[in-house]
Amino acid sequence: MDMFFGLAVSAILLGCTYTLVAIGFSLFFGVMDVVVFCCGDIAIFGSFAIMGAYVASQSAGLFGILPFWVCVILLILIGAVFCAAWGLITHQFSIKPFRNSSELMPLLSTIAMGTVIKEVLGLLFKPAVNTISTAFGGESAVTVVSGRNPQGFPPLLLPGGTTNARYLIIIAITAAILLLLFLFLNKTKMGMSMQAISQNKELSLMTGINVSRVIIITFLIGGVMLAISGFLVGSYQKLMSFDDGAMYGAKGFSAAVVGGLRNTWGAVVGGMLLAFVEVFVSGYIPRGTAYSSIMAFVVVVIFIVFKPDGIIGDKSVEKV
Amino acid sequence: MSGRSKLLCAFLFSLLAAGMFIGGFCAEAAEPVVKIGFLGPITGSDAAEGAAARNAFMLAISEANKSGEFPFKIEVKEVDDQSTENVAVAGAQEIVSESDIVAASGFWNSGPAAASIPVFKEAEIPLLIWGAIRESLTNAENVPYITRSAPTDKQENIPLAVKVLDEMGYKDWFIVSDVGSYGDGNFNAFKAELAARNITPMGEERVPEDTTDLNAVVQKIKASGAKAVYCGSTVAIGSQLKRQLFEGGVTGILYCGISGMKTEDFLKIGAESAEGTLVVSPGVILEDTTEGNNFIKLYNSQGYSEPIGAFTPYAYEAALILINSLRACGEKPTAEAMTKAILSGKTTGIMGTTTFNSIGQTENVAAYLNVVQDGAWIPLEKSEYKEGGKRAFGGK
Amino acid sequence: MTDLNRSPDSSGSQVVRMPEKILTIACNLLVFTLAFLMLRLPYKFSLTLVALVIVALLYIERSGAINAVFSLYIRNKKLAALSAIIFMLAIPVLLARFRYQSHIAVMSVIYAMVCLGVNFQMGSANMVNFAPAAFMGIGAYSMGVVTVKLGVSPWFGLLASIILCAAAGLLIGLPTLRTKGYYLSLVTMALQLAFTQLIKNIPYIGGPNGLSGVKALNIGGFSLYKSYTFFGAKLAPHFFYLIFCLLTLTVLYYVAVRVSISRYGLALNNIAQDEIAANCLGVNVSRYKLFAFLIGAVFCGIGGALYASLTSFVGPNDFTFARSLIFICMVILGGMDNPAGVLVGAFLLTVITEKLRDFSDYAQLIYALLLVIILVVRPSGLIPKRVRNYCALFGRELLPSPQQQDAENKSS
Repeated sequence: MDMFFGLAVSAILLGCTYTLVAIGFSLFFGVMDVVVFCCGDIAIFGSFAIMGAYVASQSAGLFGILPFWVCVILLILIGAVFCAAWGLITHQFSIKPFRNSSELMPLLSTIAMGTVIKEVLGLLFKPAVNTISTAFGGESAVTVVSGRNPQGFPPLLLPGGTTNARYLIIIAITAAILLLLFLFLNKTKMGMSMQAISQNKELSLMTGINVSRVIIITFLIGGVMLAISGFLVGSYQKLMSFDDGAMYGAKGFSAAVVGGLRNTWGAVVGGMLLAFVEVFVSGYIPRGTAYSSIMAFVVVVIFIVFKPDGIIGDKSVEKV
Repeated sequence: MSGRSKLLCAFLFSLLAAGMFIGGFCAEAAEPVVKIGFLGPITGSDAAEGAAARNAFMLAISEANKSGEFPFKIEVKEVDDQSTENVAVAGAQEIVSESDIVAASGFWNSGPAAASIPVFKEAEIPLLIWGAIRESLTNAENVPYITRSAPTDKQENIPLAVKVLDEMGYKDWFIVSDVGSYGDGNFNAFKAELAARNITPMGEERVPEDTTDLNAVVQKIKASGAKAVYCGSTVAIGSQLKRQLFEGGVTGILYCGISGMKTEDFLKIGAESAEGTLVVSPGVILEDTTEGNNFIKLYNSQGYSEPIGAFTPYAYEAALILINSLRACGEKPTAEAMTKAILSGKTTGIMGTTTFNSIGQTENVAAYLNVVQDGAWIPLEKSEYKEGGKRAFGGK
Repeated sequence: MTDLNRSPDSSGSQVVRMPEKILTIACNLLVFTLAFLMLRLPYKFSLTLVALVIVALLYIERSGAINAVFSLYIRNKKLAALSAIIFMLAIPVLLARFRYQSHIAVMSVIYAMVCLGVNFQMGSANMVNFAPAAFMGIGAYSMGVVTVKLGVSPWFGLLASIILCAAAGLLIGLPTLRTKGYYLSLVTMALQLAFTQLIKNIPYIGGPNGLSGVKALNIGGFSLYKSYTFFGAKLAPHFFYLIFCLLTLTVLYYVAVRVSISRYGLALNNIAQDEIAANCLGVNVSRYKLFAFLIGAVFCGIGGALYASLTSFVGPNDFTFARSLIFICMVILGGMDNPAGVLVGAFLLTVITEKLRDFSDYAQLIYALLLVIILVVRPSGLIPKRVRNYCALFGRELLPSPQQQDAENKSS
């Protein structure tokens, strides 16, 4: 029972990280009908940006002046700015040009854009690593060769606290964000516009919704979401690698599809389902860890083949 | 023929002419030199190890050239294998196609090594492996072309097994490794050591190489009640597992592993989390010998940005072995003479005296243990964890 | 009426015919000389040449001259094919002394086979298959298991690769009957990612260590991959292997072209345009989709088997998702749904990758940027697909020629 509980907590934590990326997919898909495959990479870029900003603010003595939590929020905002910027760049260069072409074009171009983001990250952190690792590692004068090595994430969540409290905070933040997102989507005009576009683009154009503005706003909101997910992933893993994004991207997309694309709650359900499958296969099957991600992908394939609309997705009707 | 196709024709021919013109310029001039190939992961995920090894290898060769001992100039043809099989094979082809090539040294990753060995065998160019540790790389079929100056995974695990199983007497083991080639080799090697002592591990787990969330494994270890955990993997898995064990409250155990974890990156998980990790390193403690100290001084004086890694001394040693073999080959070394000279040679370098056995594996096997103490790697004998020291490993 | 008939092939006086034949041969000579130079030159010159060729291709496409080239080839198709094969076989002879360059040549030929396979799905039917590397891996492992584990002739390995890949193609093609678009892409992506993991977990085929000692193809004890000495000169071991691979590629290319101009090709294009419309037109969508996966998988499998036989080693890290992306990149660069373009794309990207070895830290970035730029600037690739010119292709004319018309008029 003890083990079951432990595994369940791990699964929920992992599910939180998948969920936030999956929501990014759902949001973008809803508004633009395209899969923005570089969501994972954008999130990881966000967490690296937070990492860099942390070092900068520490050396500037910012943590002494402002209260700790204000600093943390500021750092997340900095990460969000970077994520939103990458979102807009992605939109400009790998989504907008393909408005009238086949739906697979933006998929390929966003995969390519994800690689660009990832490689830029790998190259960017090359000269700066030395200061970063000594700044919060503090244990020894570490020389790191390249940004391609794993990087330590600053202990921004509850420094010095116990593990379980940190885990609870991660879950709580995810829940709070989901709630805020839900309120935004259902109670504000902008959120309603996003939903309207997701349901029927032509009709929403007719009712006077400024679609291109909504798309920009979606990327901003998506950027914030991805930055927060990057922050949580970093706080959870503590050690980040520049190429983690591809895996989060694949899992996030899978979660979104399993739950039902276009549906925010579907992303939550899908993310949790995948995380539970992975963790429990790993936990209860002897030598099962080797097969955990294979099982996750098998689940994805089964869902796509037998229930392509996802667990709580709406039945899609093909328009002719 | 219409005007357009005439134009096209003219254009194509001018292109062709331009190509020929450029082609005429690139006739290669031959220099009286002896060439040695070097392969390693100079870029890519293992760049830190590969680049440091490259530095050390080049350093040894340039020292030899400076000494004026040889009537020819030794040139190094350096090829990046990017830790990838197909890149390594193409690189090996590039090396063996060089005109004056007499020998090559290469590989930190076992996969690229295994993929490239046929190329060297076919071209009959001797290859001295400086860093890949999969046991099957050296065998009776590959002799005499393939030799290795680094220990195999089996040889590397023996000193650790002797220490933790025989001297410390741990019995309740949980072994973890990655599903990759490195993890597979270590997993089997350590499991064989356990089996030789009639110990059945309480649990075993293989994790995909890109796994970052190991909490499920931690829960399994917790549930199994193991007193000691062996992790036969590189730093990515090794450090995550140690950290998640620590945060999952599994602290009263021994955590030991293999040299792939002994990097500075491991320490990034924090001093508290990393504390007490026991790792075996191949070779000798360089600081303890004059030759070793000289090497460290020499290396650090060059201002390389890559620090000395676990296998950097081995790359240096490999260069010394090749240089020594060149000595035995006289004024005009050939690949054939080098093959014999390497296999039968006896080289005393910074890690002791290297000779090769009948399957081309080094007989000079040295290893020492390291432990993380207060956020730094320290040789076990010099740490507070040594026999009767201030600190003790968990699980006893 | 006269306008339609004034296409060059019907104006056929002997005076124009003769230089046209020379022109065809000259074009082929140019293409293969360029290919040879790109392989042979040091990287600075080679890459300059690659850049020049790309610019030239863009130019002749923009100016419409490429149509002239294509119709030239189609009109003189026998001569073009014959001269191309002769020039093509000259490349291994010219590279006989250079094993590294021969190796790049063999690799580009193998990649071209895989890319032709990808093209059936991605180019013709607009189904992005993210698993070509997995198919290639199945082919390579079949070859490995047959020669290493069962110890039989590599020719059986090749056969096993084809059969297993066809089966795998059918198996993976099955979900495609129920899905399309993103969902299909995700299925193939998931299968590719799972494939690499799965291979590492099967000890029989060497797990993460792969299989060593895969045999090279041989003809009656005469190994195709071996260094032979001719008249005192030591040939690159790739010499015969390269010839064999080139001939195989020729056969595969012929198949690809035949498929593309047959009703299969038309049906796949129809599905790509609009699946529902295709269904309404009576195209058996499931059958053609399965066909695209099956034949594509077989092409990838042949490539994989030849690769395994060349390097005599099969390992899981050669067949990863990143590799699949490179194949996709090659197809898009060359030109989707145009077999000739696919060959060009595969060759150029292989050469670029090899020649840019020293900058491999930037290789991924370059690939990705290249892909984004191509997709935005020129989604149809360097040599885009062409309208099928059946009349010229089969030497028939859509409308009767003036002489025939006259004859008809007279008779009536």
